[in-house]
Amino acid sequence: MAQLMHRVVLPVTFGLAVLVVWQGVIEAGMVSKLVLTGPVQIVTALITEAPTLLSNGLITLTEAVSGFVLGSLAGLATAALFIRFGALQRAVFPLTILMEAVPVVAILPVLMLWMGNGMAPKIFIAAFLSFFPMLVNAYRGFSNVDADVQELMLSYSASPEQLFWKVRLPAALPFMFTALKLSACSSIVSALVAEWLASDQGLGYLIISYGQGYRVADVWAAATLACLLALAFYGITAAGEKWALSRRTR
Amino acid sequence: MTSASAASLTRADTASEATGAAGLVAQGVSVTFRRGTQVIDALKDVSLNIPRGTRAALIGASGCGKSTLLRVFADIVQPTSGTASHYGLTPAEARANRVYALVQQGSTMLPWRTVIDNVALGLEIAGTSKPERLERAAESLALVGLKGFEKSLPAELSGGMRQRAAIARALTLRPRFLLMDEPFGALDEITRDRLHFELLRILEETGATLFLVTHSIAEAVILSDKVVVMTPRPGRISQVIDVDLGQHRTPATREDPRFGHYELMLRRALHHDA
Amino acid sequence: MTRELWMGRGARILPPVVLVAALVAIWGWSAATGLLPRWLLPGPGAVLHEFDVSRAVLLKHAQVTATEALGGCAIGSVLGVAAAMVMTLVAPLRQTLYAYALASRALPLIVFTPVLVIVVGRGIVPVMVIVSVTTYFPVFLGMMRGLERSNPDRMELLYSLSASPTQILWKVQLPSALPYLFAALKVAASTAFVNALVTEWIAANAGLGYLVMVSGQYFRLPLMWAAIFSAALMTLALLGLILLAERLAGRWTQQATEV
Ligand SMILES: Nc1ncnc2c1ncn2[C@@H]1O[C@H](COP(=O)(O)OP(=O)(O)O)[C@@H](O)[C@H]1O
Ligand SMILES: [Mg+2]
Repeated sequence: MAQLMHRVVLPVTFGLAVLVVWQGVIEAGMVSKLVLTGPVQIVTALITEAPTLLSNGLITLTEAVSGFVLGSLAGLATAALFIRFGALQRAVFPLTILMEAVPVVAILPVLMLWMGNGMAPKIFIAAFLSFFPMLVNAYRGFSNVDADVQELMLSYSASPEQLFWKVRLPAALPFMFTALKLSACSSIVSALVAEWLASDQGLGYLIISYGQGYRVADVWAAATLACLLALAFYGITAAGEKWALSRRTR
Repeated sequence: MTSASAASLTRADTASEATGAAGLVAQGVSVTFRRGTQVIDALKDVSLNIPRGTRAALIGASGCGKSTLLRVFADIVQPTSGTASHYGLTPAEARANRVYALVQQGSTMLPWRTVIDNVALGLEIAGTSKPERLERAAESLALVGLKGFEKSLPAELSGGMRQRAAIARALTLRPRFLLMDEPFGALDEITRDRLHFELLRILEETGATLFLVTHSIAEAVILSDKVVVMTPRPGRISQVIDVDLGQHRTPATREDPRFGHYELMLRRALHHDA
Repeated sequence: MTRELWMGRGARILPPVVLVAALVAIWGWSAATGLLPRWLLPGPGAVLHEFDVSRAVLLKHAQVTATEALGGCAIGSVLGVAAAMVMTLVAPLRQTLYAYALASRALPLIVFTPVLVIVVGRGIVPVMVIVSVTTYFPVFLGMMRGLERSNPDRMELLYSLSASPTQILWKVQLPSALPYLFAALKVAASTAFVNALVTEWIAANAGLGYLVMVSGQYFRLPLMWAAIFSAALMTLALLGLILLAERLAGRWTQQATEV
């Protein structure tokens, strides 16, 4: 009972209080409506602009999810190759860590010169950003196998393929979900940001064009929808993790 | 000794005289844990009296509630019912006045501190000045034979040496009670044997009361005057055996026929219960 | 022994160095033979040359970006660490706010940039605010996790010595949290520059991100690549700094040699 109080009542009360105070500040005219808007106005904008918001949101989501899937699969495959061919790993792995430091999203202007301003460069960026976390984490997971278990498999004279499918892959599952959760966030962010630069569709584009028109409530509505989409994407990934890993421990 | 702890000792003495409480006392202590819908009776109506200056061992199968009883005395676990006291002080008062010192299962060290800073931790928390606490920590380190390792990091010590450091840390507080939870459990038998006699020597020098949790029969017999036998589910005391092997013990004590006799007695007590 | 160590290090460093050299060589060769159209990717020589001729421009914009990224990163980290410590000591605050902080992990907070621009205008301020906010949350969450996951035996030891919550925080929880803090700082360092660059696209008229965008629009590809490499170098420098700090704090972060 006290737990419920602490975990639900306090944060919910606080959230509601913030919303009420915020709306109060707006209604009292303490800040210009040209600069800031209230929760009620934002919800209204979400409803009236729903068709535009949703169709553009779908585009952003498509870019993010496509990149997420492609990048993660490529990362997983590369990690498997690295495990199989150690020399390859030694040469390339330090580079991949270096690549993480490079502002990959910032090369978007270059990509647009190559691929135009459609969905392709956004998918590419999202894939690129999903690739490295999966590569690094999956590789770490594949290598995370107990020496004892490896010895056991060796004593059964298991082939490297058997070792991979029966031991390494299941052992790497928690690590893979760590990467997926990271990529779920970054693929949405990168798709949104990429749409800022040059695009005539997508939520990122919408936010900018609303902003240029000083449509404050609409900017907030679009940003809120972006947050909701990101939360949902992350939530689904986290739920997938819970499902996959709970079945294992049972 | 700081004036605060000196005062607490006087208080402890007068309290014990006033109530006639002998030393470490538990009266009808029960502890119930709830884990989800599961209810675990870790301790059920445990009553116990360890007179001052006694070396007592608490023995029982793993999971029978030994650590829980020790934690009740250490004010870490609150009894669901019943009371516990040290010299008439409640566990909370005993903790606040640092009347007892705890040696945990596995010698817990702060790995980023040197050995001497680990050993001086209790005094540091009590607010003792740096020169004094370092001096006293050095004394305790010498007492456990760790002179020269003051500036080492815990990771640089062997398991046995870390265990000595943990004992030194407890001794630095000059406690009335040493509460030890399987302090030698993780050590090899050779090191353990050596530490047993060091502990006995230290107890003779300091006059502290020992309350030691163990699951080793030989350890219980060699170290204690009184062995408390616990049985599991619900955790309760089934027997208290007085070990009459004299005050001063040496490796030769193990060859005493009475030693084997007590071992057998304890083994029977434990198996009879199972 | 040392010789083996050195050879071990050589075996670790040599392959990636060779690979980088090979990639640069291929890049140079394909640019020289016209296999790679110059309007797509200029050769390494052209980019190097650009570093020389546009030094002033690059420096000017790099300074802006460095201010935004380093300033924002510092502000966000300090606030994140402080907030985690306060919330560890004050339970009601933690119970009220932690759920929101956890949710923030998944939020693309950077999309609020246009909102910020409307409120404070374009310039260094909105970029720095975005970098601070995007640094704050990972650092706060990492620190929180570190403080929460302090070894229970060590906490119990301090409790048995009747240490106060503040003493427990300083003597056990804070040192135990350092590895988590450094892990979070590394993430923050690598995202600080990216976020600064990207935010500059819509919130500033200066900085390397702005330079990348504009030189792209004018098809000045060598300048664009020079700006990108400058940002990458600054990111690596910041990462190096944090790694150095971590090594200096080595004694406190030796969680690997957990006792
Ligand atoms: N904090 C706790 N919460 C729930 N159950 C506990 C807790 N501490 C101990 N127990 C349970 O109480 C019983 C006794 O534990 P313990 O005192 O640690 O046994 P021992 O030290 O004799 O091995 C065990 O069944 C254990 O699982
Ligand atoms: Mg125990």
